[in-house]
Amino acid sequence: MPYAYTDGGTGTVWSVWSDTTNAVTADSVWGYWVDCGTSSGTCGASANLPSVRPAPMTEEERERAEQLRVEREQKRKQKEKDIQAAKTQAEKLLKSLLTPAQRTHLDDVSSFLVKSESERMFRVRRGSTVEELDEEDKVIARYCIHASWRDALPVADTMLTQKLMLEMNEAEFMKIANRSAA
Amino acid sequence: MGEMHVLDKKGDTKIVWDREVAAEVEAARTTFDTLKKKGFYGYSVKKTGEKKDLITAFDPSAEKLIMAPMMKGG
Repeated sequence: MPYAYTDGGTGTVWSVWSDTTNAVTADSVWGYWVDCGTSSGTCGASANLPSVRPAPMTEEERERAEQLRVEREQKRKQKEKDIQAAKTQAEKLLKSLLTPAQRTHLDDVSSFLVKSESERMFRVRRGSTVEELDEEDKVIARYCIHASWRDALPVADTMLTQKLMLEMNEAEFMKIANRSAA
Repeated sequence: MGEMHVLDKKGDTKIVWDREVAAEVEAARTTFDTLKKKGFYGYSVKKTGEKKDLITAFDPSAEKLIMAPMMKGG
């Protein structure tokens, strides 16, 4: 007896699924489910499943979907604005605490030099990497250190924290940072 | 006026206090203590940015305090 998933058909996929009397196996259930044709392979018979399309949206559903889309877009734009505002604010604070030479360096090459508590020279780069320099300005080591909740902290805040640690809390900086050779 | 900048996801949050007003000093001290408990470091700097000290207790006479969050190796 053919199994067909049609209105008024002789059986349903569910019948196939639950049928234990006609040697239907799990394989053949899948076959029925996707309509693998007539009497071939693991399919005992064809199951003609109608193409299932979602019902068209009502006007109310369309309006609601559009409203949600607009709200999501507004949230996304606001988040971008907030991130940009935070970035600007952090840059302003950082620059207010740099010397004129450091500020120029930052504008020109996105980094600035800091002398640590132990009189060593470091270059603080945008991001989480700090480079230790020798007397000839050659990089002799790199340190990676950032805020625990790094994704939320603007880059300029990380740079400021690195500078302050080197200048006033160098032992802690060395304890925490991941050091790698140049 | 003393000022404290707490580094956060908005850039920083600024808290000011009048050294002559006890309530403002106390509010700033409470903020400082709360942040210290969360692992923040307190750095005292001059208003020009020149470094001063790493501080572990609130100093109402500080010109400018920077409260920086806990760091970790990357």
